[in-house]
This record gives sequence, C-alpha cells and structure tokens, in this order.
Amino acid sequence: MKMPEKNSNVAEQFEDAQQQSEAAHLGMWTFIATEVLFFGGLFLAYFVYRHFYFHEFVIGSKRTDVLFGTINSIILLTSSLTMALAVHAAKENYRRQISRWLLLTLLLGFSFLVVKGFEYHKDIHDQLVPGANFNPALPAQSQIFFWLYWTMTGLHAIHVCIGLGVMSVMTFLARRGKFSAVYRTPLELAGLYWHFVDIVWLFLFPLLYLVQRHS
Amino acid sequence: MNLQRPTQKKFTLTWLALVIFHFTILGSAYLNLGIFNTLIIAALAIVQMILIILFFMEVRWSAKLIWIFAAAGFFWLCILFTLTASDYLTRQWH
Amino acid sequence: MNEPEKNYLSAGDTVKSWLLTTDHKRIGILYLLSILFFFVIAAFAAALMRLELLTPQGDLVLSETYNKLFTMHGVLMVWFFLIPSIPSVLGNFIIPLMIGARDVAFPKLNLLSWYLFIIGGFFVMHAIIIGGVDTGWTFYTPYSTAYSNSHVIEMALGIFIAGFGSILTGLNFIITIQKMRAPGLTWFRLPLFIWSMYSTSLILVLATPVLAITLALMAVERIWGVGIFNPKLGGDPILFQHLFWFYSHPAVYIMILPGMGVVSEIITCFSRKKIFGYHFVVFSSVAIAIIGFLVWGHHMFVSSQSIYAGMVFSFLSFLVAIPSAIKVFNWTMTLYRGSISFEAPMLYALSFIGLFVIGGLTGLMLASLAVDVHVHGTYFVVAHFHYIMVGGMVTAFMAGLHYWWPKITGRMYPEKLGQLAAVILFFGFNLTFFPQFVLGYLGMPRRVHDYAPEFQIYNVLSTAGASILAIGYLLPLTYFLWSLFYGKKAGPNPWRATGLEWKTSSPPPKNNFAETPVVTEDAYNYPPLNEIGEHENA
Repeated sequence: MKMPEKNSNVAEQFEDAQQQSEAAHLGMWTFIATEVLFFGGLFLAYFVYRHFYFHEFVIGSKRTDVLFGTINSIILLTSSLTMALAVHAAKENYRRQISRWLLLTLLLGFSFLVVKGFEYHKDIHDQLVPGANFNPALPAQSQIFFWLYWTMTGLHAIHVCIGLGVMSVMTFLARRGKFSAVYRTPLELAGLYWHFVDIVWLFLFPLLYLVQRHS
Repeated sequence: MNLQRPTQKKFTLTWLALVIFHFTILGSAYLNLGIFNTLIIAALAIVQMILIILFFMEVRWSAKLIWIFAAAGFFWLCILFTLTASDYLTRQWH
Repeated sequence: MNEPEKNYLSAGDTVKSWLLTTDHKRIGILYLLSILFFFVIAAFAAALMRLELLTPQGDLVLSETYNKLFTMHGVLMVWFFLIPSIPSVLGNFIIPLMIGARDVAFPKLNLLSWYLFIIGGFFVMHAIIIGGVDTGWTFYTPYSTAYSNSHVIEMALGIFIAGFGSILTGLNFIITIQKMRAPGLTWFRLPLFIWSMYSTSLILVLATPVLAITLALMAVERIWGVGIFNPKLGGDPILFQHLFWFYSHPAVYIMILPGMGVVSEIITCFSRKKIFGYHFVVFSSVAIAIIGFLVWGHHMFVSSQSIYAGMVFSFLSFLVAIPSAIKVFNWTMTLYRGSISFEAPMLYALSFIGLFVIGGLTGLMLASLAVDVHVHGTYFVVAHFHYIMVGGMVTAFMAGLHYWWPKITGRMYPEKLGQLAAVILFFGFNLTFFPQFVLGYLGMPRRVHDYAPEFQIYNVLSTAGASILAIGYLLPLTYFLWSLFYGKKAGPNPWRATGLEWKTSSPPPKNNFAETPVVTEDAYNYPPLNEIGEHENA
C-alpha cells in the first residue's frame, strides 16, 4: 500500500496539511476548554467563600500588593502581544522576526515569575500564609482568602512555567528555521496556550487584588 | 478563506485597548461606586477576555467550529456556577 | 509492510513494537490487557466482601479492612476498568475503522494516554499494597483531608494522572470524529456507536478536569493541614461534594453511553433491520451527555445542601429519563418484526436492555427526594448503580467484545459457549444484585461489614449469585483465549453486518484500509430479508 507523496510535515493519518492543521487547532481548543474547567473549580470555590465571607475577603484583599499585581498584568498583556506578533510573523513569512518576538515573550514570561517571586517573598514576610503562623491581626476566615490566593496564583504560575518550557522549544525551533508561512501549527498552538494563561491572570488580578479597594 | 486579515497594527491596537481597560479596572476599584464596582470590573474583565480570544487567539478569523469549541468550555463553566449557586444562594449559613 | 497480507498483529512482534506502537488497534489491545488486570483485582476485593457478608458477624475481615476493600473495589472498577472499558478498548479499536480513517487524529497522544493510565494505575496499586485507603471512592472531606490515616494522597495522585489519560482519549476521539471521517460519511450517516462515543468524549473532556482540580485541592489541604473544605476555618465540606459530583455524575454516563452505542450496533445487526428512529437515538445520546451535567446534586439530597437546590436537582434528574426511555423504545421498535437471531452478542444486548430498564427505573425512585431520604446510604443505591454499571456497561462491554472479537483477532469464539456464558451472566447478575434492592429497602446500610441477622438470607442469595457471576466472567476468558489458537477463522464480515469496520480484512491491516473507503448510504442499510443471500460476505 503506497501512500501518495506528501509534505514531510504531514503525518501518515492525515490526507493533507490543511486537515492536519485544522485537527491540531481544534485539539488545542478542546484542551483549552478542559483548562477552563480545571481553573473553574478553583474560581467556584472563590465565589462561594467570597459570598459568605465578603468582609474577610475585603480585609485579605487589601493585604495583597497591587503594585506587583499591576506590573505583572502589564508584563503578561505585553507578552501576549509579542506572542501574537511572533505567530503573525510566521504567517507573513518574516522568518527572522519569529524568534525575536519569541525571545521577547520568553523574557517577559520570565520577568513575570521574578516579580511574582518577590511578591511571594513579601507575602510570607507579612505572615499571609494560612496555618499556624498566619497573621494574628487578621480574622480567621481571611485564611480562606489567602488559601485561595496561594493555590490560584500558584496554579497559574505552574502554567506560566509550562508555557516558558514550550516557548523555549519554539524559540529553539524557530532559530533553526523550522517555521514559515507553510508550517507554523506548533507555534500557533503554543500561542493559544499562552494567551489562555494570560486570560486566567486577567481574572485573578481583580478577584484577588481589588476586592473593595476603596473602603 | 479570510478576506480580512490580522495585521501588526490590529494586534497593537488590541494591546492598547487591553492596557487601557486594565487601568480603568484598577482606577475604578479605588472609587466607591457601590454595586457598580463589581459590575464594572466583571464587565471589563470579560471584555478583555473576549478581545484576547477574538484578536490574539485569532478566533475572529477562524471557522465557525472554532467559535463553538472556544465557547463550549465557558458554557459548561456556567453550568457549574449556576447550579452550585442554586444551593449556596438558598442556604442558611452560620 | 507494503504486503497487503500483513495485518496489524503480524506487523511486528517485539515487546518494543507493542510498547512504542502508535497504532490505535494495538493501543486498544494494550488497554484491554491492562483493564483486565485491574478488573481481576477489583473483582477479588468484591469476592472478599461478599464472603464477609455471608454471615451477620464480622468474622472474615476487620471493619477497617472492609473499608479498604470497598474503596479499592470502587476506585479500581470506576477509574481503571469501567471508564476505560468500552471507550479506550473498543472505541480505540473500532472508531477509526468505523469512520474509514487510517488512525486517530493524534496517535502519539493516544499512546501517551495509555502510559498516563498505567502510571496512574501504578500509584493506585502501590497505595493499595502499602496499606490501602479507607475513604471510599468518593474521598469525602473532611474525613479524607483531616482524619483518615491511610494513603489518600498517593491514591488521589494515581487517579489524577489517569484522569489526564482519559481527557486526552476524549480529546483524541472528538477531533478524530470531527476531522477524520471518510468521504461521504456525513454526520447523520455515522453509526450510532460513533455518536455515543462522541457524547462520551464530551463528558470525558469537560468533566474530568473538575475531578482533577478537586482531588488536587483535597490533596493540598491534606498536605498543608489547613484548607477550604474543613469547617474549622469556616470551610464547607459540601463544596467538595459539589465539585466531586460535577464530575462523578457525568462520569456515570461515561459508564453507560458507550454501552448504549454498542447495543445499537448489535440490535440492528441481529434483527437485520435499520435502527428505528435514527435521529432520535442520536439526539438522545447528546441529550444524555448534556443533561448528565445538570443533575449532580441528587447525590447530595441528605447532605446540608439547601432543600431548594434539592428540588431543582430532583426535577432535572427526572429529565434524564426521557432520552433514556427514547433509546429503549427505539431498540424495542427495531426488534419489532425484525429477523432476530440469538448469537451471543445479541443475548448480551438483550440482557443489557432488561437490566438497564431496572437500573433506570430504580434511578427514578432515587431521584425523588422523599424516596431517596428513605433509602439513601443503603443497599438499594448499591443495587441501583450496579444494575447500570455492571448490568448495563459490563454486559454491553461483553456484547461488544463478542461482536468485534472476530474483527480484533480474526478468529470466531465458540458460539454455543458464548450463548451459555451470556445466560449465566444474566442469571448470576440478577441473583447477586436483586436481593440487594430488598436489603436496601428494608434498611441495610452500605459500606458496613456486619448487619442485623434478619438480613442474612438475602445476603446469602447475593453471595451465591456472585459465585455464578464469577463463572459468567471466567468462562468467556477461557474460550476467548482458546479461540486465539483454535477458533474458526473469521472472514472480513462474519455477521454480515453493515459498517465500514466490516469492509476490511480481519484482523485489519496496519493502515486499516487498502484504499480510503467512500460512503454512499445511511448506516444500518440492512437489505430486505429475501435479498440477504446475495449480500453474503460482500
């Protein structure tokens, strides 16, 4: 059984590059749907306890550092832009621009983690970790707020780390001239993932940092 | 397939809009607007999400099937939230 | 490899060629062998429990051991046998064949799913060996997070990892069915098995992540020592139940929808008739998948969930009965005036319908708030879900395995023994589980290793039934093995069935079809009776 001659980037089970690319995109969107529900469980817990312990959430939220949070929001938003531009460069076949935009994305993602690290350090110093050493000045139920703060931002940070790993591979491949207008599916999928991680942060920021800031 | 194509300019404008919305959210949080604090933040955060999905993730220029798949996760999330709310919003809490 | 005679089995026989295969058919076989392993262990736990329950006193195992036995039985049977049974074994093997594809959309991901399943299974088995878990398969908080002295975290980790395996399987199936169909195979020409697998995959993909985050939060809470499911800080244990059942109720449909798909294939084939009301069966599959997400609160009627939510969930639960009843009605109408023959797959399929009806109707009883308060936490519930999961899903799995066995192995199983096993399974099953309805209604609680002496007669009946059930499982195991070597050679289409999987040789070649098939007709286009002779082995 001889297969017809095909582009070397097309796997055996597909008829052509278009079918392969469509399948891969649909697969990535399905994966993102699972991620939405994965984070969804945590958001649900957040909303339930915010409903019952609103006052404690306000007190807890005011202890978070808006400056760090804002810097990180801008960093992630910008990294989403550079990611989109990397994909765009591939589509327009500006092959040398691809790795430049990717490197910038990588750098921004990494700085996000650094800023987050400083912030975590400050949070620990301010005794905002639930448990025996929790800041005694705060009401007990604020621990629920901070438990959610740590798990939500922690889970998000894990996703950023995975994203950085993926991005490193993409940068490596891009530098070797792997991507072009003809073949760019892996790059596009990495982009979809990265934008999703950005979206999660856009919700985490107001939910964790901005609960009734004015009061 | 797509007559309208994404351009660098469109991406940059999207980014600009996202940053402006972000500072609007941040600023509004420091004003006492009562119920509108939450409403504004929720609305703008959802607008930001939609902007990213439509432009950065290029759903605007994608097939209808992608629109459906992109929406499915959020639809099921609504099921989770709504039916759980049917318990917590009607429960005695002590 | 270019020789057309070579099939997927003879394409390489080294261990490496199996462990690194990306062929969906071989991955299906890998799953078959692994779930068989877990089934045997879980069945062993069940056998020990049934032995313990022969007498009212706890004289075989301690209550502590009994707790670990039913946890192990539940965890292994649900996540490591039932959920992968039809989807990962038969689905993997049959879906690409049925839609005329060379493989699933992402073959490497498919192999990764199996490895995740095995790694998860390893952690679970390890947790069992070093001492087991006593929380029940539901891991309710705060017992699991604050009080249990067993290996909760490792068990949860195993389920978490295997969960990602099933997410990837579901993802693979969805994309395969969306994108890999043969030319001419439009949505409403698809076999109903494909529709049911698509619906199942929706559940796998959309529900399993919530289980993953729930188990992760539970584990974090246990490790950290503080958390949101413990009332100590003001947390709500019921929230864990909401999250858990948001997954686990739809998961119940992962454990029945694939069975319904198999039965639709078999009923049509052995009645030589088109399915009655094709579109209704299709939409009922999708409807079950979606409505299945709206009913989880019926597991929590007697928790501190609000009574209002209980009413909403009770009402929604009744809705599931509609698509289920549509299916039963359509199968029955397909049988009506069909040219029925009673080969083993058909016997299994018919017992599926009977057992599913009993399981479904008792489900309606449990969905009504007042009845549930009476029988909650009793053997009535145990009997109900075993009628669905064992009477339904396992019977359907046996049906499918017999039906596609010639395709998978190229050999026929011995028909007379197959029919015998199907009958034994039916009687053994009913003898095991029907007395449990009575027990539950009279008030015998589940998950307890001793009981009041007046319940003994029903427990003895149940244990006796379980031993017959065991024969019903061991017999097919024996003759399936026998048939691998001595079974009659099966042609491409021993059942004279429609469907693309029967258009290629048995066992199929590595790439499934010599050339991509083109579909020009609806599914189940069985010829009128007088023409059958001419269509033989087409």
